[in-house]
Amino acid sequence: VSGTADANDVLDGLDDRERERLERVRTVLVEAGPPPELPPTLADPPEPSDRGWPSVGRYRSTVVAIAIVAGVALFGIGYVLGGGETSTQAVETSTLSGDGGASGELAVLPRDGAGNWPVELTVRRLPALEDGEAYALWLTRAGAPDASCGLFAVGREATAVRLNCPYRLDAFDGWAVTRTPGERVLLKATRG
Amino acid sequence: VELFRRYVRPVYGLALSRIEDHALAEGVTRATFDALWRESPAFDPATADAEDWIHDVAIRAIETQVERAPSGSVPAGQTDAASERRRWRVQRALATLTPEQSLVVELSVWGAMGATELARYVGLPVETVRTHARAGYARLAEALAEDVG
Repeated sequence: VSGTADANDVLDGLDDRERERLERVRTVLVEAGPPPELPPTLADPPEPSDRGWPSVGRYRSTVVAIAIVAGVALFGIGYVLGGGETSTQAVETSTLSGDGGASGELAVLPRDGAGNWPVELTVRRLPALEDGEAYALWLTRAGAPDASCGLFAVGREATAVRLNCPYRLDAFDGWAVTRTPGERVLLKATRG
Repeated sequence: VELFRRYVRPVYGLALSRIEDHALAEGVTRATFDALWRESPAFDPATADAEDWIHDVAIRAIETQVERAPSGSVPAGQTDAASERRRWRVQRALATLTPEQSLVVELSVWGAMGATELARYVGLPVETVRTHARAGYARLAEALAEDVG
C-alpha cells in the first residue's frame, strides 16, 4: 500500500463515519493500482475509420441505401473478377432458417491480410424493410446477436452479399440476421 | 469526445493489463473506439448495459490483437478476471471526477501527498484542497458502492 500516514489528512474534519467510508475508497483505489499514464497519441479521440451512422442524422436512410447499393455492387464486381468461385474456398458454412420460409446460406472465406473474415451470405424470403431499415448480420453469443458484421439489403429473389467480420470467430456460437434498428432476429444458425 | 474522455484510460488500462506492451495497447485502444463508433447504431441501451458493451468491445479488440500477432509475440499480462474488472470500475469512476478532484485524489492516494504538500503542489489553499478531496472521494464512494460496501 502506497501513501504515508498523513496522506489521509485530506479527509480531516469529517465525522468518523464519513471518514471511515471515504478511507475505504482510498483502500479500494490503492488495491486497484494507479491509472495508466496515457501516451500523447491518446490525448485526443482517434479519427473514426468509418464515420457510420451517428453523424448522418436525418440522412440516415439515404446513407444506408447508398452503402447497401455500393456493397452489393462491389460484391458483384468482386464476384465477377473472382470467377464466381468464392464460395468454393469457404472455411466454414452454415444454413440459416427463420419464420415464414425465410432461409439463407453463409460461407466464411479465408481470413484476409488485415485479419477480417469475409462472409458470403445468400438469403431468401426475408420480410420487406421499412424506409430507413436494413438487415444486419451478427455473430451470436448464447444465441443472441452480439457482434455486428455489417448491413445489407435484398431484392425479391435470393440475394448474395459480401460482408466482413473483424472478430475472433471462436468466441461466438452462431450467426443471426436481424432487421435493424430493433434487432428482431429473422434468421439464425448455430456454428458447427 | 465525451465517450472517449470517460473511457480512454479504462480501455488503455485494460489493454495494458492483458498485453504488457504500450504500443500494442495503444493500438488496441484505438481499435476499441473505432469499433464502438462503428457498432453504436446497433447498440440498444434499453436491452444492454453500456458499460458492459464498452468492456466487451475492448476485450474483443484485445483478443483480435493477440490472435493476429505471431504466436508468442504478444507479452501477456495478468488476467485475473475479478481484479481486472475492479480496476476497470475504479478507472471508470476516476474518469467521472472533475480535473481538480482527480488531481487531488490521485496525488493523495498514489503520490502519498498530505493536504499541506498538495496545497503547495497545486497552488491552492489547504482547505480548498480538502474540499476537492472530500468531494472527489464522496463521488468515488457512490460510483464504487459495490467495492466500498
